[in-house]
Amino acid sequence: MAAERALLDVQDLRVSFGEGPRARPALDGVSFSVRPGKTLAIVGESGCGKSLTALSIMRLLPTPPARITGGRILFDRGDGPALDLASADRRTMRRLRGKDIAMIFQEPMTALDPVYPIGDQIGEVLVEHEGLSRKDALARAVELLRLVGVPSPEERARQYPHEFSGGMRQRAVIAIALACEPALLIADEPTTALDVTVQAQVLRLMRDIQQRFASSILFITHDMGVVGQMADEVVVMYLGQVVEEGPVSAVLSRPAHPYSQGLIASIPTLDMPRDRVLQPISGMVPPIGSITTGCRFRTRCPHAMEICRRDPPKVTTPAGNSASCWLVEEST
Amino acid sequence: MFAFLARRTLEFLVVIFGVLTIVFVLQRFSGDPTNLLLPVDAPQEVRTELRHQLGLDRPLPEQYLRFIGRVAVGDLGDSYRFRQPALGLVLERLPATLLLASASLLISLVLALPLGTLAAVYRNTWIDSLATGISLLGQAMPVYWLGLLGILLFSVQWRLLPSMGGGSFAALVLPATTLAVYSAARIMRLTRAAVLDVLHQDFIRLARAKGLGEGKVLVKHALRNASIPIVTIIGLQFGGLLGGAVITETVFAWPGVGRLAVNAVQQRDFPVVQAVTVVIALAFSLINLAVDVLYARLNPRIRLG
Repeated sequence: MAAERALLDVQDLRVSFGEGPRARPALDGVSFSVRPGKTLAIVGESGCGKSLTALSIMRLLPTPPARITGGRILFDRGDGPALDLASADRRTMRRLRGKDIAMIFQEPMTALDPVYPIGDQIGEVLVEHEGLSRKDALARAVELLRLVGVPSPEERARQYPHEFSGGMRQRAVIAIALACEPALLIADEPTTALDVTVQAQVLRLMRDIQQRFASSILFITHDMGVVGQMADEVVVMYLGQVVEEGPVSAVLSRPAHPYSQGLIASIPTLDMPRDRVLQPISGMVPPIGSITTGCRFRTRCPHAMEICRRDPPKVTTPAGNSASCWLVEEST
Repeated sequence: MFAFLARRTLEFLVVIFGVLTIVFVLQRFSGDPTNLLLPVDAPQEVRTELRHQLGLDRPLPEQYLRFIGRVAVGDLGDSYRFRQPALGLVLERLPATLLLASASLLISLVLALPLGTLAAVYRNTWIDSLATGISLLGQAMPVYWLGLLGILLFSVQWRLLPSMGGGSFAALVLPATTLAVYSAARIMRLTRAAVLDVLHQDFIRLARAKGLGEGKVLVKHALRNASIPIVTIIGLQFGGLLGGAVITETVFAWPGVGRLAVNAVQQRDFPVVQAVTVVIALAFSLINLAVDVLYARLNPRIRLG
C-alpha cells in the first residue's frame, strides 16, 4: 500500500466561509487519498462538506465567500512531483480541469447550456484541450454519445438540451467528462436527481467506464446503498471532518463510528423483517461553525460521554477501518 | 419556423387593425372637422355640402370601411394646413426621426452593454455601485430637463455643439445623447440583472469545470444566454425612442416626425396626427416582429416550439 502512489492525496484540507473573526470553518482538516483505478466514495448528510471538498479539488469554490485556508491537495500527473492543487495558479488549474480532472454535477437538468446543441457542448472540451477542429470535435462527440449509451448519437448530437430527458442529459454530461479521458473523475451525487431505474443505468454506465478507462473516481453521495455498489473505499464525513474511513466491505459490515452506524441503520433493505423500524439519526445537522471542538457528532450521538468534549483519537479497528471516536478507543 | 413567422405576422396585422380602429374612433370623438375647415359663419348649405364631400353623412360602419379601404392603399387624408397628403408629410420626416432614434440606440448600447456586464461580473464592488448609481441618475432625469441642460452647457456656455436643427453630424450629437440617457440606463440595469442571473446557473459552473477561461465562459455561455432578455428590452426601447423623440425633437428643433406631430396637434391638423400615429404604430409593430424573429433565433426552445 505504501509503495503505491496515490493519484489524489488530500491532506488536512481546510476551507472557511467569510473573513477574519467571522470566518466559519466548513472543512476542518479533511484528509483522504484516491488510488489509481479505484473508486473512493465520500458519504455524509447535506452540509457535511462533501461537495465543498469536490469543488476545492476543482478549485471552483464560490470565492468569496468560501476559500481554502490550509492543507494540500496533491495530484499526481505521472511526471515528476505531485502538484498541489490548493496553491496551483489559475492557468495550471484551467489546463487541468476537463482534461486531467473532470466533474459530473448533481443536476443534469440545468448543467447543460440551453442555447448550444449537445454535440457542440461535448466537442467544446476537445477543442479547448486537444486542439481539435470543430468538425473533428463533433465527430468525437458523436462517438462519446454512443459510448455513454445515447441511441442514434448522430441525430442526438445536433439536438438541444431541452430535447433530452434527465437521464439522457446526465449521459451527455458524463460524455463531456470523459471526452479527454481524465485520470480522475469527480461525481457529485450524479444520480440523486434521477428516477430510480435511470439511476441504476447511470451507475452501471459509470462502472463500465471505469473498467474501460481505468480511471479513478471520487464518488460523492449521501446514499450508503450506492456506496456498496460503486466504491472500493469509503470516507464518512460529518460537519466538515472525516469521522471514519476504510475499505467498503469493512465500513459497511462493521461500521465503527456511531455516525456511520446510524447512516447504515437508516438504509431500508428488502430482506429486513417487516416489523423492524428504520432507525433515523436523531436531530438535525447543526449549522457549520457551531461546534468547533471535541467530537462534532456528540450532540446527536446516542453514546455521547463527557470525554467527547475533547477531540477524539483516530483508531484503526481489526477490520481495517479507522474511526475518530472515544468509544472505539475504549473497546480496542 | 414558417408556422412561427406566419403566426407572428397574423398577430402583427391584428395589432395594426386595432390601431386603425382606435384612430378612427378618436377622430369621430374629436368633433366635426367642418368646424375647423370652414369659417365660423359659413352657411349651413356649404357645411352640408362639405360633410357630403368628406363622406361624413354616411352611416358610421360605412365610413369605417371606407377609412380602412383608403388606409389599405396608403391614403390617410390630406393635411388641413399644408393641403398635401398627410402620409407623405410624415414619410418625408421619418428618416430624420429614424436617424435620431438609431443614433440614440447605438449610444445606449455602446454605454449600457459593457457597463451592465461589468457591473454583473464585479457585483458588489465599487464598479457595480458606480454603474448602478449612474443608471439610477440616468433614469431619474427627465428628457426635457436633460436636453435644456445640454443646450445650456454645450451650446450656450462652451459653444461646442449646435443647439438646434438637423442635417449635420454635430447637430445630431446633443439630441441623440439626450434621448439615449434614459434607454441606456434601462438597458444597463437589465443587462446587469440578466448577466448576473446567468452567471449563477449550473451550466456556467460546468463551463468552468471544462477548463474554459473566464473570457470564454463570459462571452460564449453567459452573454449568449443573457442576450435573450436583453434583445427584448432593446426592441421595446427602440420603440420607446421613436415615441420619446417627440419631446427631444421639440427641445432641439429637430425636423422629424415628433415635431411634426406636436405642431399638428397644436394646429388641430387631424389627418397629420392620424398619419403620425399610424406610422409610429407600424414602426413599433415591425420592430417587435423583428425582435420576435431574433428572439426565436437566439432561443432554441422557441425556435422549434
